[in-house]
Amino acid sequence: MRSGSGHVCTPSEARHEYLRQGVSKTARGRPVFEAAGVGKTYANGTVALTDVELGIREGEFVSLVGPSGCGKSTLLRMIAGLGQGTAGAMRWWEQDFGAVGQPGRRLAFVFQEAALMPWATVERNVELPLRLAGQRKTAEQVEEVLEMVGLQDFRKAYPRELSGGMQMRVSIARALITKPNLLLMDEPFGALDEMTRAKLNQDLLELWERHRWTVVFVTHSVYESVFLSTRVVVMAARPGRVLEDIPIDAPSPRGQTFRTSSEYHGWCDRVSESLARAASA
Amino acid sequence: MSARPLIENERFLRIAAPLGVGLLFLAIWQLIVTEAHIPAYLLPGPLAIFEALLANWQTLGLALLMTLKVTFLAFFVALVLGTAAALLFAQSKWLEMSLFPYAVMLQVTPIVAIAPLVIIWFKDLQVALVVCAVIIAIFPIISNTTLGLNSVNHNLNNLFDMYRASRWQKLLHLRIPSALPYFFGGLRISSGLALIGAVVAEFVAGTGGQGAGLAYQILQAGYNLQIPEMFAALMLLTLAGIALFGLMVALSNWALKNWHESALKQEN
Repeated sequence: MRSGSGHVCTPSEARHEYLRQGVSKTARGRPVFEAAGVGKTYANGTVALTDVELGIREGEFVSLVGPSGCGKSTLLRMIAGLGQGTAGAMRWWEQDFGAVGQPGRRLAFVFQEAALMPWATVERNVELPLRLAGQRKTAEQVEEVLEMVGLQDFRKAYPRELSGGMQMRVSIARALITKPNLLLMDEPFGALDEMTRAKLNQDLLELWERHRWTVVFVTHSVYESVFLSTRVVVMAARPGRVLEDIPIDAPSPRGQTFRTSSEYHGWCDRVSESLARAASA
Repeated sequence: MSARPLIENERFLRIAAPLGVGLLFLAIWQLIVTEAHIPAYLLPGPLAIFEALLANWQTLGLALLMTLKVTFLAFFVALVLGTAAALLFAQSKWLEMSLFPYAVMLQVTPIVAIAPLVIIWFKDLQVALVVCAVIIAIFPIISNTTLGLNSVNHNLNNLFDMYRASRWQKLLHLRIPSALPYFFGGLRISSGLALIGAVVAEFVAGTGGQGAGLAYQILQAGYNLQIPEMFAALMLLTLAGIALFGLMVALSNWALKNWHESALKQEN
């Protein structure tokens, strides 16, 4: 998990150059993550990912969408350093994985399930990343992130006392407490009901508009991806690969009016068409 | 709440229902013994047993204390050594693979077969009894705690890796808390086994005198055909076992009360 150089299989500087100039047209920030020709083949011969070209720049909100088995979660986990590729090269802030975790290069991950420690209070769960880093005094930071996700009154509650949506908020607060430079979210709202999901989408978007973290967001939902993202990356399955890269050049801040606008629906149609192609490809 | 009839109160039922069954059983038992004129040396009735208990209270009470002393000592040693072994196994798959079969060996070898050896090896009988009881009480603690330490939520495990938790941090903040419900499950089984181990070892040792426990009282009463006394001693053992189990359940509920399903009240 901690090996850095192992992620770079066949360094290809030319490809990196292409990535820097070509892939991201909407954002002008410095590169946060780049994948060049990345592939992953399991020992049993299953090809999870092949020839993935992906560049994420600072301040972008990129959604990965695609049919089941397209490797979007696998790719996200590889970005998080969980599992390595078998081909191609990956770079984080233009360096290998060893540099991740230093100030200005922090990652945080939000899983599909809240993955909270059931024996610990909300406060204890949220402060975990700081504790693990050896920090003792955390009260202020806990207060700050809990306020961000609207759970300031639940510091002493146990996870079982919270609804699914609130547990997910705790999980997000735990990710935010390290002030991550790259936030990775793996279908974080997939298990929630539609109402809760819409509310969390709205809140997440507002937070993002205020703080402009770089986010990579895996989802099944076309609507969610268009509503949140500055870019939607459509992936296809068997073998998992990037099919299309669709910039969502919508104004910010977005709100309920955006959800009902015709341009929003235009983008949704566009992503849906691409997904349909991904399903048949 | 208070207006609800007693019969719907779960706490009341939890105590009253088994108690009622027990009393009914005792009544039928007494009835059969009295009506069929079964002699006390074959099957004494509950009343005769109770009388025997009162008459021999001093001897039996002292014997109970002795047996409990061995039980608690053995349980404590099993707890410490068992937990230590499980923590050791948790450190590496290699250690676990190479040592776990020997823990299983402790479990499957009949204590009655080893007890004579143990009693020969240890000069002090008390120590020998404790060793025997430890041998059979330790396995559930080792195996349950090991299972628990390895039953960590996959995503939480990934999370700890991502935040570069040290081995020690992971053990302390993730693996040990995850193992607690399993550990307490082990304690429940092990506490009963410690009592059984203490009694079996004493049966094998068969010595009386100052430090004699309940097993010796049972043996002695058996030789003398004092069947009511035998039953009285047996009853004390059973009660001690139940009390021990109850204590473990209470301990487990107290420790897990905030989070684990086993200790939570269902609210639906």
